[in-house]
Amino acid sequence: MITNEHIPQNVNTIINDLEPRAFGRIGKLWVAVLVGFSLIGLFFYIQQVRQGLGITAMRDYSTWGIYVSNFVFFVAISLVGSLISAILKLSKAKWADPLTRIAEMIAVAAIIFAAIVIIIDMGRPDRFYNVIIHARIQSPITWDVIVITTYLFISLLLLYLPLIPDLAILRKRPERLSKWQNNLYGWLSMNWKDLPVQKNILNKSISILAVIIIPVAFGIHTVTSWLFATTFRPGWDSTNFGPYFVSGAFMVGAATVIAAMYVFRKAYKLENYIHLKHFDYMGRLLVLLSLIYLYFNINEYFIPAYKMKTSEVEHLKELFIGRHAQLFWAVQILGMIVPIVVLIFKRGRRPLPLLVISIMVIVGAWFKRFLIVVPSLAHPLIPTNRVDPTWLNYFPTIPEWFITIGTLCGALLIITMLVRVFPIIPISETIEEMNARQNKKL
Amino acid sequence: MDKSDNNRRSFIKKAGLAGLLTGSTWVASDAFQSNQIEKSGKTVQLLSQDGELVEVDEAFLKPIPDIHISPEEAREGIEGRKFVMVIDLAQCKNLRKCHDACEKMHYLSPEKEWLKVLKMQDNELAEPYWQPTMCFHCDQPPCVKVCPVDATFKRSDGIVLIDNERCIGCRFCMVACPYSARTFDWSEPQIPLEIAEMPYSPETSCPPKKGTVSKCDFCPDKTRKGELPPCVTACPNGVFYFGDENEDAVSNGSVTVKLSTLLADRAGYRYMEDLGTKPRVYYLPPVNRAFPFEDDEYTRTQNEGHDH
Amino acid sequence: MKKIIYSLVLILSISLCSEGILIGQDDTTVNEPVKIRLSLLYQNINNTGPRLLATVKTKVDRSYITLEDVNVKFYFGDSDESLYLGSLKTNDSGEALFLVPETLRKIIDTTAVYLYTAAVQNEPGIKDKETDVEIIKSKVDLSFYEEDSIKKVRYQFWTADSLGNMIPVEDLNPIFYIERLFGLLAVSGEFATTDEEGVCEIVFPDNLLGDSNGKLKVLVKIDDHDDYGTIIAKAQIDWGIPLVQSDQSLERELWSSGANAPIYLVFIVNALLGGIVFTLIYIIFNLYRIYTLSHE
Repeated sequence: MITNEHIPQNVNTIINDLEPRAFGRIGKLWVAVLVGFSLIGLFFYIQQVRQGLGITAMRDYSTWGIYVSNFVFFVAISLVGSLISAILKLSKAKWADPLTRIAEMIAVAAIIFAAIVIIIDMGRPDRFYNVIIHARIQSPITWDVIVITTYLFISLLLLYLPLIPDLAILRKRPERLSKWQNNLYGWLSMNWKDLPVQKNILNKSISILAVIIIPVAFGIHTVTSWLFATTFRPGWDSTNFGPYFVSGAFMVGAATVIAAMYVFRKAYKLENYIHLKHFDYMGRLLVLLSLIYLYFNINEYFIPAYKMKTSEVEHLKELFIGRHAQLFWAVQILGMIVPIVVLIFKRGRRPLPLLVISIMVIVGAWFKRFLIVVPSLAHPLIPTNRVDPTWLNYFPTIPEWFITIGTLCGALLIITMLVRVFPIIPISETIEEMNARQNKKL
Repeated sequence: MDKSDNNRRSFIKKAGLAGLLTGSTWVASDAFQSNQIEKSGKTVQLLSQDGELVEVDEAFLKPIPDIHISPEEAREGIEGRKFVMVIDLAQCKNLRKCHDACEKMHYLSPEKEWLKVLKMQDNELAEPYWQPTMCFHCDQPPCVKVCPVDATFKRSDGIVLIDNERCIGCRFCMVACPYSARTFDWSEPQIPLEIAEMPYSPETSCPPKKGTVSKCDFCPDKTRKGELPPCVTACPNGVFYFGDENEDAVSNGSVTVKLSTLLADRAGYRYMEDLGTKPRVYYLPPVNRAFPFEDDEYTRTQNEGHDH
Repeated sequence: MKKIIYSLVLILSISLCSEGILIGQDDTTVNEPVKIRLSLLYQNINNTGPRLLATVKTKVDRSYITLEDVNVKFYFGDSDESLYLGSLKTNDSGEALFLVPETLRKIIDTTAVYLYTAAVQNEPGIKDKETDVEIIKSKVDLSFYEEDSIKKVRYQFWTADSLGNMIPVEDLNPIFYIERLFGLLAVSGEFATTDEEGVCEIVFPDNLLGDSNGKLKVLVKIDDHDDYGTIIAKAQIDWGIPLVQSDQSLERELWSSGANAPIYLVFIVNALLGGIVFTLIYIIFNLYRIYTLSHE
């Protein structure tokens, strides 16, 4: 393999390479676009607050729409934090260490927007406090509120703790920092002295967080799947829904990390830190996760199709050959089968093809959530012969699209801002690794 | 303080007499705030049933306003009751008077159908029939299970109500209800001004509130007064029977029958019994029908082949 | 006495607040007086004295609707030679139920046959109308007894002969009911008939649900009889099955209120949450240790 990758040999080079940098021209344009779309989304959301959810295409029967599917998407993405910085870390997959920060930033942004999106879906966002003051512990929504809040805290800590030594390192070179950075880093790094005791406490804490984030991560997406699986609706009435959602989440999460690391590697010239090896390994991981997801998909669609229970028949027909068939097969084939086939080959796991496949997986995953949420509601258990057909043929309105795009841009904006403020690749870990390598050589 | 309390009590008593005399609903107006009522100075004599004469200030003789049940009070059911409904499918010919009466009673806009008349067909060979459907006020309600804020609740009298001042509009209950009984105010509800200005009560479900869920409430404001819900009285064919399971009796407005006998003799069943929701609405199967099935324009033209 | 009647009228003449349900107020009524149908029913409950129920209806589009707020005058005797009893305004179901005051009953009670008249007179926009009902004086008795552990209800009916003596009536068909929330539940099964002693007995069903003390309200009714009017006998008896109430709203179930959540659920959720919160507090404590180590 011919590469222009080098292993950095010098602490100063590492710090110079990895310190946060001000936006360039493209960076500023990117931020402007994100801010613009977020504001358009906000504008439409204000309209929605004023006029009610009537400005969406949702009606009785089609009670949930893309807000809820978008929520599921965000929750799914957020799971990647636990995958990379917990599961891989605990399994001592050292190669993934440079990716932990990226994964945690994505997780934090996604979980924040999951919470925002679900508030957007509420008919009475002004009464959100009822969820706390009148919390009813029997409701899966209450569990979701608890577990999402917990996950947000753990993710923030898991982002913050490994940052402490990095920020201390950056702070040693105040001449390269603007005033606000200096203050922020000083405040966040708590005068980190890099004492062995401190290191010990910090590493132990990170390990504890890495352990507890795994059940909480499984929790958020399992509970999210229960919002559907606890009902009687066709397509949702499944005991497999938890693992089905979790496996899908890991798959799209891995794809998101791949896309992000490709972009950051190009934008911040990180070829010496994110190697082809990383793409190769992430590609392998994505194949594995996609295969698991494929397995759950077969379970979810084949078994009901085999049984042909009355309530499920129309739902499945609509997906396989009906109104949603084109989207369904596009999502299943382009978002799952094709990625598996392409990524099996080594060439397919090179950065560019991997990026394309990852984007296919992400887009597919978004529409997949749409296909999970929307068509089921068009087939209630009672006959629909008197129902206004437009209520059963939900298609999002322009405000819904713009609000949704706004939330996606908002999440990207958070990631972008985090990257602006904090180092993308853990600096102290990279230095440590370099030292370890050099010690070995000696 | 003591004295005014005494006064109040006596006013209630006296006013109650007027009620006895006329058989209509008269009572000292807002007896609990009688202190605030400006006395006219004129007293009138009333005759009690035991021939006793009492004197009451004229100002207290106003018709009873319907008792307002606050959202907190509405969480308690009506004492000792367990409301139940029986729907005789053999008598229903899709006149939709029940639907219209419900719409009128609750000031529903046409898209809010708390009471639907569904065209049912059990299998390809079976004759279709009409089935009025509303909230079944299940004893094990899946909608109440999932509510995150106690906005929808099960009462001791069997009724499932919604507190529209607490509902956060997440619509989980609508998704959880297998009978699609719940509706949502997607936009600001279009209602007459005087209804919009009424004090809100979950028992009347009025006035409706934007961004919240609503549904058939079994009209506790009516049943509290011993009156049948309007869907029951509006039906000219006596399809609906309504009553109290604790009394083992249901009435369709013209006859009162024993609930247990009716269900036993006519093979009463509940819709989707296998879901385990334990509805409080029973159906009598459409056998020995009073009318042949006639399709209506709406179901003929709309959604062909959408029957389950 | 006049005062009493006056007061009755006064009470009832204060109009009901009924928004928009006032019926029969077409514009045409202003010019042409409305023809009404006036019916008069005689009732007596537990021999407590005459009750006169007048109903005012009018025909609109081939169906009758009730009229509210119409003043109905009640007379003893016909309108030529009669005793004015009082007047009442109809309520929102077009009914005016007049209880003959005890002071007047003494005058009425002197004859065996009564003639009552209800009249709508000089009402604006309404054509005058009167109707009467002739009633023979009657008396009922209702009692309960148990014989060989069979519960029985005994009903007896008398009427006044021309001399004013009370004599039993044969071949009457009273119906036995239980009072229920929305109506009367018939319990007499087949037609029960009074014998030559005016007595009618039924076996009381043993499968009726009563209140928590097993109390039932029994009501025996002869409905709108040509001679006697509507004669009701009412009594309460504790022969029902006592109601055992289970207040479902207090059970700890998944569909109960948040305050009544199942214990296992409260325990599991709190244990999980507690575990995680405890861990997070420990982490924050560690951060504090890191902080203090730097500032020593």
